[in-house]
Amino acid sequence: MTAPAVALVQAVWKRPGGRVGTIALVLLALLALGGPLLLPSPTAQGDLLHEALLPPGVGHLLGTDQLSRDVLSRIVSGLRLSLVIGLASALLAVVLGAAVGLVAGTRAGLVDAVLMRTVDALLAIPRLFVLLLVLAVWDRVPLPALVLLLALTGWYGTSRLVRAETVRLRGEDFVRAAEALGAGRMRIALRHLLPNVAAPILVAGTLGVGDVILLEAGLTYLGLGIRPPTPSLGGMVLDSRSVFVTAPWTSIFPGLVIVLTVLSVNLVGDALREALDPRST
Amino acid sequence: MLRHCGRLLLLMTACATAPVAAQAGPRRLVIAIGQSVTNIVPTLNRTTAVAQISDLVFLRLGRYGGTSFGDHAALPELAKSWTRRDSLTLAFDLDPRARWHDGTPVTSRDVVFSFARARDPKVVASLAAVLVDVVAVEAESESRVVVRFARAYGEQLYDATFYVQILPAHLVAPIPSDSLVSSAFARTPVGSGPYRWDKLEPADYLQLRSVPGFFLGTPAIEQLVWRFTTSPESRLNLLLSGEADVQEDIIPPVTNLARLAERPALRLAHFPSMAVNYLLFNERSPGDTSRPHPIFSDADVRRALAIGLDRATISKAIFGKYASPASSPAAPAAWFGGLAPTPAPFDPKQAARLLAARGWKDSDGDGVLDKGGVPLAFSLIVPRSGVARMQMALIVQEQWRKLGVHAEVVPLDLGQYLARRPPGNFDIAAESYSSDPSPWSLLDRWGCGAEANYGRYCNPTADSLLRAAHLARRDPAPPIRAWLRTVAQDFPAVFLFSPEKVFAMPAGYGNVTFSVESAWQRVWTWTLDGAGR
Amino acid sequence: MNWLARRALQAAGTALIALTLLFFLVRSLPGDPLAILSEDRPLTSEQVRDLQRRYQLDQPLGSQFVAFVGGALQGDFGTSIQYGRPVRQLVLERLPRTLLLGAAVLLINFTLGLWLGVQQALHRGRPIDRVLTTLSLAGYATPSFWLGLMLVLLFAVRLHWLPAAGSLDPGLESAGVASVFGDRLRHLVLPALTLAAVSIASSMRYQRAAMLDALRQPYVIAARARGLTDRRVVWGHAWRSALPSVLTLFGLWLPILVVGAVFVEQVFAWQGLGSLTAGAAAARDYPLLMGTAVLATAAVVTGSFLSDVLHALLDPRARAE
Repeated sequence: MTAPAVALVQAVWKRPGGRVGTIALVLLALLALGGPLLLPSPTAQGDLLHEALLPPGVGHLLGTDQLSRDVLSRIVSGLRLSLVIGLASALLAVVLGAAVGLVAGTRAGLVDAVLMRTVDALLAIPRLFVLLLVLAVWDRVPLPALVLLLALTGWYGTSRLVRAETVRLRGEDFVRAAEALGAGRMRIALRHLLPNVAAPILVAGTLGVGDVILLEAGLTYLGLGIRPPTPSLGGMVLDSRSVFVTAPWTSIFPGLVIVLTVLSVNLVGDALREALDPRST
Repeated sequence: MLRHCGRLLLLMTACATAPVAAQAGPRRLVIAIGQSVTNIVPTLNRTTAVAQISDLVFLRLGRYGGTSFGDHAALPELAKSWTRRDSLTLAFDLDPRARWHDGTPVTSRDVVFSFARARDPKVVASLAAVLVDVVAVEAESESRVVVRFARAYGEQLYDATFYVQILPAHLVAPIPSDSLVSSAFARTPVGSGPYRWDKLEPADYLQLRSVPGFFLGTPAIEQLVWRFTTSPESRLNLLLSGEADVQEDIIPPVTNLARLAERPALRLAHFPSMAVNYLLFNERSPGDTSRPHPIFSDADVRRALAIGLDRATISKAIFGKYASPASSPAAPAAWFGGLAPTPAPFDPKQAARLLAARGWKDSDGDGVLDKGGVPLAFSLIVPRSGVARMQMALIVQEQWRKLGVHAEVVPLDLGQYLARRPPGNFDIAAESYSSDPSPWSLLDRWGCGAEANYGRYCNPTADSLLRAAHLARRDPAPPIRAWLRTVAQDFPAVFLFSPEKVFAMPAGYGNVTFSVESAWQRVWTWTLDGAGR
Repeated sequence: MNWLARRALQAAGTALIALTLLFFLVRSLPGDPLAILSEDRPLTSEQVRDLQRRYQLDQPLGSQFVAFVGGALQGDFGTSIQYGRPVRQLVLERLPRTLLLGAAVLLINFTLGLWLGVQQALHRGRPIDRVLTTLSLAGYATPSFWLGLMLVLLFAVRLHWLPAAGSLDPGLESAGVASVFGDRLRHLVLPALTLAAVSIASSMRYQRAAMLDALRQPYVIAARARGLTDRRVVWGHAWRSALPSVLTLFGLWLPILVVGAVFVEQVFAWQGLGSLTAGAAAARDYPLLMGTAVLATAAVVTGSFLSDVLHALLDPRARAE
């Protein structure tokens, strides 16, 4: 790990929010990775007539659902899926956003104008709306496609940030110096500009993870994301709707896990932002 | 209660008014339903909710009499009586007291007009198709209508009464057929039934008001309100909080029954339905109906998949005791339902043997049977709005998994689900179908080449049995029984069960009757004498 | 004025590009909007052709687009396939409910939210600031559909304080203005609280940052030094100077009001534009989707335009940019 990265981790750790968020995230990740080894299969049904909707207790720590499946197993598997989707789409979105932002920022003129006009227009269409449109049509959403879709609708903000930063940096001496030395446009962008716009990218990416997890849960809740019987946290809340009054454990716990996960991610993102831009505190 | 209210400022106003439905008394009935209704004019819209409401506003010549055969297939409604002239002719005498809600008398002109509209294939093609044997409807006098049929058959009276609701010719005839849907008549329809159109708050509720001088008797319940609430749990919550009096279809889940105990003023009403839930096999290749389905064209495989399911447990897990087993498309509540054979028993061992005998073995050890390199895997499409069908699909999936069969559950939006059926773009569809109370109507779903025969099951012998029943002039039971047995053996679908209609409703009404073919049809005859509120 | 015209032109351009992108996205999706019409029995091929003619689905994409833009400029988005009624009529019918919910949420966020933000700035770094930050972040991390269910469970099902769903009780229509008003309010409380809880974080955060900036201004420090009471400094000087940038947020709120309530409307069976949009997407009701999309996009563009104008009016420096 390079020195600035270590310093950043230390700065995040120094903040109470960052510390709590990091610890919680590590615990959640461990649960998501290790849980499936210890728990029953999340799709296995027990005795439908006698083991459905059992309250939390020995044997089923968080109870069972209406198809007599273990709620804890389903939460753990759902959590793993949420984390995978969140991390993968946020990463993709950030890469895409940074690429567009760097291109727009380094190539002034027509390219910049067209890209940024398009980004303005894309930002004007609510993200959820676009997702609803596309997902409602596909009855089968492969996981990679879902990740890609969430990424493709999540990069606009990052590209704006990166472009603004790039334009600012282009006036700086070290960039001018590199230009004077005859460095290519590509080289300048990757060697000189990218490392200097890493901070906003990192913050946007972290906060993006939380947004994506919430969006995925919401879409699945509307019946448009992850498909049963694959456990997903939003899907569990959806499935529980018809029984949540008599068997509240089927909806309380999955929801709590979403809140906990997204909150932890955002606490870390916030701590990162503060560490990188102390003025905002 | 008030003590709590002071604690949260925001909730203050909230506590000022109490739920009203509960106070308004039994003269008003608020019914929570899942679909929203915009228009109840017959021939314009065909959902179950619309049909049920429409039946209270627009009457027929006669209402369903409990059988589709013979001259007792109908009870008097707009027609006070009918006489048979010969084997091809029926004469109907209209009740002279019948009035449109605008005061105009109902006359033979209205009947002639309504039949002409119903028999026009450009209006509703499928309606015109079922009325193919009705060849002429003529007014003989102001109050007498003569209906002539193409041939002599047992379901003449049923055909002349069940399918056609009478429209007011003086109001509807001037409107061009295409613009009826957007006309003022569609917005404020005028009928001849016990209830008249009062008010529609789009997406919220529809209100009907009783017709005081209704010629068959003044309804005791003065207002009927249908509250539209898509999600089932919201409907239950409306009921439990007293904002609705009646909830249709309160199960699944069966746990809801326990919650009814929270409201002692409510009671449970249940009655059999015409619906049968089944898993429909597509016997043709999805996407190319000229080729047989690689898996389901084999009757033994269909049989194995059927007896490999513990249908009794599935039914019990979803509907508790409020469903009965089915072996055929005939619901036990249909007048011919009792002619159906008993369902084949659950026998996983036999199912495994059957599959093995047809060459399905797990040769690569992945837990899924295969044959010639093709796995025994397929998709199962389900409309995701159906709570019961979604649960059913997930249980079926798990039970088949234990047999080495991989079913992928594909929940679809209702529109998409429906769109998949006509072109045969599915492997198995989780259907729930309420048939008309005539065995002849089953041909439309199960006859060779029939329009709504989405699985493309075809057994010419079966078709001829049904045709024989339709044309039978004396006892149609033997051919119907033979048809039901043939279908039960062919397994064009896994027939699972027929759910009952389970309603939660207020206690205290007298003479409570629900009709199997249209639940609320008799609500106008309910009495308040026992009403305790 | 020149600045205003330029900004307006820019907004119109953005809206047009967005609509073009949206149009081609929607029309390029596969699907059969006619299927929803044949709920129980299949349509004949003649009927299908007739409907296609009516909705111009058989025309080439290009001419559909031209027809669409022409119609949109006149506020005409055609007839909904699902409902068989004009889209404009459907949207107008649902709009009041969404505006009502949106207005309630705005009210909460811009009174309680801003006040909390100011308190945070005043107590920067102290426990109260941290607790409020964490709480608002937790709200932001909460799925609104889940929070809605939990509130229903508590306040409607267990305590019977508030209605579980819907936006009015049909029984009260004839009960007089006061009880109708009370009834609407009762139905509004839970959905509005849910939506406010998950969105209040941004108002608080924005106000807190703007206030911190303002408190650092020399004249605020000077005012404090002059011995003015804290209350007058905070609300009279600092808060007022922070106001323009906070009002920018107001514009960003419009889109949330129009479609942001999809989940909440679903949980509470609130018949607004959110649920209309979700239903239209599911049924692939092209004309209806377009109508709501145009409205949503217009709201976003108008919102950001208005907030810029507002900002410029209150803070002339912004116009120089």
